[in-house]
Amino acid sequence: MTSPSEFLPLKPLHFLMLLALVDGDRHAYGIKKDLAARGDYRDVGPGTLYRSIAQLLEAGLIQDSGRRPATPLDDERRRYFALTALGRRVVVAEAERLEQLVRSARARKLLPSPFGT
Amino acid sequence: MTSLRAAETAFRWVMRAYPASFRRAHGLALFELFRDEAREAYAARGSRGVLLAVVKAAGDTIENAPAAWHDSYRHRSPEALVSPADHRPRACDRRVGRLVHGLAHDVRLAIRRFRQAPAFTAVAVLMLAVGLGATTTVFSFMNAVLLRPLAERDPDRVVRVVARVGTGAVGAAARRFSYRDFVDYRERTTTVHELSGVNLATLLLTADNRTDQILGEIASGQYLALLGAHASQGRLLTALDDSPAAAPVVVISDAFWRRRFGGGPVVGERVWLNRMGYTIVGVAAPSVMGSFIAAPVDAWIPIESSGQALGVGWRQDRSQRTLAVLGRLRDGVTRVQAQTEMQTIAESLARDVAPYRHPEIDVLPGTLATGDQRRLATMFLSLLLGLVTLVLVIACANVGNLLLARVFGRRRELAVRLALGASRARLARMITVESLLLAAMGGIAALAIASSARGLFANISALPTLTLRLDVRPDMRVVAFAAAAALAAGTVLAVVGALHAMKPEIAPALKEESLGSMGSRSSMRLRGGLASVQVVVSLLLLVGAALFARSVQGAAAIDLGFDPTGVVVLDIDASGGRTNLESLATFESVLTRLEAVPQVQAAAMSSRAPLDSSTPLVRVSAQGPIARDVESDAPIASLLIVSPHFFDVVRTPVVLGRSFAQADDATRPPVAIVNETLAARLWPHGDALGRRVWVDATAMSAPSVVVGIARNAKYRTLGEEAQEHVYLPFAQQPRRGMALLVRSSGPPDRTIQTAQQTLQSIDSNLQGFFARTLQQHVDVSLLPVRFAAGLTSAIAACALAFAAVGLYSLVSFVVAERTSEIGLRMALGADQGAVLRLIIGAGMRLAAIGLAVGIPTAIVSSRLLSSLLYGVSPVDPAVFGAVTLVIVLVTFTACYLPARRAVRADPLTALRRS
Repeated sequence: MTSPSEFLPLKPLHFLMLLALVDGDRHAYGIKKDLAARGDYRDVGPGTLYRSIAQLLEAGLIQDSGRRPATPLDDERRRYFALTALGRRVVVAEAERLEQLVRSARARKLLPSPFGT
Repeated sequence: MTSLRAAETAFRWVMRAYPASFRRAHGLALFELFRDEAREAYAARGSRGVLLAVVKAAGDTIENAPAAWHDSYRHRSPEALVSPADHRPRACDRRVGRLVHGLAHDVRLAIRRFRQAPAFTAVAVLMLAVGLGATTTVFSFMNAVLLRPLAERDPDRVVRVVARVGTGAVGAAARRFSYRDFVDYRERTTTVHELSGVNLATLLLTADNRTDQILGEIASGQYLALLGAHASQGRLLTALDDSPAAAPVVVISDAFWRRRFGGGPVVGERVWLNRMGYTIVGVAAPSVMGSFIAAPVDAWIPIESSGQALGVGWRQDRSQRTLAVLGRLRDGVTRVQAQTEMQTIAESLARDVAPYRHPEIDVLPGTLATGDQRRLATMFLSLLLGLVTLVLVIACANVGNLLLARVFGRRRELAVRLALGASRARLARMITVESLLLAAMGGIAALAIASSARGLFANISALPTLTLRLDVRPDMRVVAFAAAAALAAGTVLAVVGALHAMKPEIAPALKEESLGSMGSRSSMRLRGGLASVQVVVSLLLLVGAALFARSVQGAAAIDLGFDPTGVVVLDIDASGGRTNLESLATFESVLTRLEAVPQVQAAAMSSRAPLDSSTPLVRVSAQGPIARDVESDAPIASLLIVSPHFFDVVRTPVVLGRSFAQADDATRPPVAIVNETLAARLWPHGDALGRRVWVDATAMSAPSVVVGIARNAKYRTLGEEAQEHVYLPFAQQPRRGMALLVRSSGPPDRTIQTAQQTLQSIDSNLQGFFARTLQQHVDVSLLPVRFAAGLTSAIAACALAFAAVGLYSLVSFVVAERTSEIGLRMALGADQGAVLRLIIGAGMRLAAIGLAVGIPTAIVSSRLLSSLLYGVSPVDPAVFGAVTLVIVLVTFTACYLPARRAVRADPLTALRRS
């Protein structure tokens, strides 16, 4: 079994894309909107997005979701993506790694402590 | 919504930049994503938003496609990972990927190095851009005039059919076909279809109680369809419109529709052309400009309903060769086959309608310029292309020099790379990539320059009312030319640079260099040679520019033989329902009334204003009548038909005999005035007065009696040699279209106004067109030489500046390299003067070599220009002296500045640096 730590550190864009999928399956355009809504990567191009998707697919962090919403407006060809179990563990591991980093920044009084001490 | 569809098509093309495996896996989804974005952009900002989305997507693709190729090369998918088999890259993708990978690496390195040396990059790209931009601009003119096919549809099949008869103005007229000849060819040919005749005509268009003089093409019905033209409103002319029974219809140009009708609804409107009623059936698309180079066509009417717009009886008279002929080759027919068939037809026509002489027939590609026009344009534009190519050569030499300096500056880095095992081929590739990248950036900038320069030249205005319209938009040919030129420049740079990069001497370069190390001697020799080449080229260009500038002065000093100041010219057309005789009476009363105006000194009618290249040429003979349609060796003279006061208005003296008088009318024996040249040619013994002269094309067999000899003047072109000329009196040769010439002491505007009012007061339908001063009219003839002078001066200034920069940078470089040597010399007691002399001497030696090669070259090559020069010898000593002086001064300055810097440096600092 692949260990999540092999994928760390994740590229920021990959991390944010995985985060976007935590709440549920999305298509590429949804991921793009999610990134934009968070204020990161406000205008990520289609090529950049799909290259990242290809890389995440290849690494097995995401997979094609079988889900097709029943809305008539939706295009048959639109692909939805879902986090794999590995992907979910990787995103958690990356979040922990980042938290670790933030914590060490706090220890050096770079950031105010969340508890006000 | 069409913009959305166009954007989707565009993106499909853009997507081809990705490797096939990537497209198979993600292409559809990628496309969907783009479509979502484009739709959202359309909803938010309309077509502009869509355009922005396409541009962004293209940029995104440029950014990601190389990486995707890179991914596909790297792609080694472990079994554990989810990857459907068909997503895996194929072997060929992988090979391409490896190449792209290597190249991408080189490109990234090159870009990084450019970023580290922004000044070098900017100067190099700028110089290449100017050099390539100038050549591309000139080429886009060549393209518009000589190469771009007239037809938009199936252009390679459209041909011009011309008669090959001699050269010169007489030949040019004879290259066309009479209407009856044209019909015969059209009926007999089996190799060419849609054979169309066309000619330009000045038409009087009346609509909404206003009359304008416009330029129209009188053409066969299928002519516009042959050109592949489209109508933007209504329809074009068809073969049906060109039948005797058809109602008269007209198609107008887009420009004319906007200018004259304010872009309002016009289809179905009635207008009057030469006072015949026509219905406007359509407006042609903006790109339709007709098939004559200097003529912005306003309207098209079919031959059958053109009336007498092209002359009286022109459709019966085989001697009136008026039609230019175009046609489309039938499928599978070559131009040679068509030409053979046309020649056969010409010969059988010669038998059928003997003794009419039929010419040799040429079937040529269907481009804008033909005949003499084409010959002249080819000569002028080739010359210009040659000149700007020289600028490109200078630019390349300069950039080459900069590149060499950089290679030299990087010799330690290169030596280290070699020592670490990089192959020399790899170094060469690195330099090649840099050179090609520079050239590519220069080429892109050049296209931008070329497409903005067209605004400067596209509407060259000869007169306030007349413009030369040329379609110089860059098309695929221009882009291909720019790409080829950039590639050539890049290749030259790459070869020069790579050859030197391949042989850095590792050992000395790795050690900190010894005192006074100058790089390899061959490298310095090459760079010195490049600098000398620049001096040679700028000398050539400066000589050309100076000759043209002198030529402008020379042209201004040419004795016109008439006095253009204080005279205004208006073209008058009285064809509306008048006979020639009626118009004579009208024009005479115009002149009488004008001459009664206090400020008017004299007024006259003339069939052309003086110095007009369209002045007709006729055969004249002192022996007997000139037979039509038969080759004759009778002299050819230019002809003007003038009213009595013409010689007073233009102030051409009648040196012997008398001027025309009011009494010389149709009831009296015909008279003529000849110029000195014609008099000497026909009657070498000097007894011309009272002799009889037969003038062709006057529709009369009776000879005219010579009553006067006029001083020689310029009649058709400024540069013409002494030209035979004959004047006939207006009262005996009445015409309906004349030029009104008025000499007045008042301001030209006032005179023009007075003339217009006088015309209106005699007949409300009468009005003067193309009002201008005679000086303006004459200046049109000066336009080519002015244009050439301005253009070559600009090019030469550019070249000289480049050469100065090149020399300056070379000397600066030498000085920088030899700082320690200079410091040592000065520390040992050399005085500043000696060091200055050393450095400047080295630079000036290069300039001297350039001059030694350049001056003889210029003496030989400036003869090429002699046909374009007025009143100045191509080897004018003043020009050569001045140019040499300029070059010496500029090169001296370019050497002195860095040399001064070197001697001012503190010797200790200089020594410490080594």
